[in-house]
Amino acid sequence: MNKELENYLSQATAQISDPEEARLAKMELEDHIMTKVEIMCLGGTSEEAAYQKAISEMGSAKTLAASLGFVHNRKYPIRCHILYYAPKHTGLFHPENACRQLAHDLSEKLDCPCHNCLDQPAFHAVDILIIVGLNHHRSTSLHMHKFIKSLTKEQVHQIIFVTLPLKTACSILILSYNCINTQTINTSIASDSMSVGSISQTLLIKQAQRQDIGTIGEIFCLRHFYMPGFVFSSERERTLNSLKRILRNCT
Amino acid sequence: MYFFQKGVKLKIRKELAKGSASLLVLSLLAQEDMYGYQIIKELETKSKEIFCMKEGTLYPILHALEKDGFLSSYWENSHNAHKRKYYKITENGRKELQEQKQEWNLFSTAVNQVVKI
Repeated sequence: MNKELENYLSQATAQISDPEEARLAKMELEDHIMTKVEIMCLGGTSEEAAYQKAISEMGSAKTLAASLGFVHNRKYPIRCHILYYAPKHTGLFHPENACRQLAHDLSEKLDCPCHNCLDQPAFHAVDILIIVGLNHHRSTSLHMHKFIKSLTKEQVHQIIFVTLPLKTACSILILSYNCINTQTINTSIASDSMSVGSISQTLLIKQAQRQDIGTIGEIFCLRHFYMPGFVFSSERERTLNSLKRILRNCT
Repeated sequence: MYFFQKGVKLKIRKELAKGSASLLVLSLLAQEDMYGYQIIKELETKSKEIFCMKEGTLYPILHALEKDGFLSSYWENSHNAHKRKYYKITENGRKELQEQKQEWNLFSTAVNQVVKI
């Protein structure tokens, strides 16, 4: 690469704190300058003069660096949506009511703007989608898998599952990862849900982790069915606090 | 941003340029996916060489629109063996464009009404 160009690109991207974002910005600016150089050379300008002109037309490297740094380094508020995925009533512990209540609590405590759409599968574009309430039925897994498959990166960047039995969430993830382009949605499994895992569940987690996925998302597993006003308040608080921690880390 | 009038290069006031730059970029990308250099050239052509956006203005706008979720991007190989970044308007970007267009129409109509007096 032309030395003058190299210096310019390094200066222009120097204030972008994320090295990967800086590298990509550098590549983009390089392509821009090279395109101009090529056109000027075709018009009869010498290569050296073309480089000088193309670089000077880009403007001051310091000014560009400040603008790019401002854009790339600013913090964005996380847009979050909590979706209550209604499982069928499965008997003894009324998990449907438990999940509904938990989703309601989460939406209030995490300031989800969508208090009215907890039951609806349609939602607006968000950074993080929190899905509450999955059961272990295969039909639920398939339904959820279809829903996840329909999501695009434009709609949601990360999914957090708040689920009842751990095995369910793992099954859904594995099913989904096998079918969707895993580059489009960043999801993964956190080790803190391992405390409730049996050997078979651990195997499922390992299987999911072998997929080529990012390491941002988490699964929260409630050890017991969540019963409002009953004995599981510590579990509820643990879940809420962990979610808050994740959201804080994302900002 | 600059504009040309009878061959003379004039600078648009910073405040005016700042307000309309993202509207112009989103409008162009609503028609087709483009890369940075192409956006500058299209802007010149479509405005009959009235607008001349500087690179130093364009790229921060593109990156901000992408960060805000109004644009997405993908890389392709260009003919000169360089990787080229293309921008694509998202559904959110189209909604934002509609809002900005409405704002612009309201604003320009009001300014015209006052200025013509």
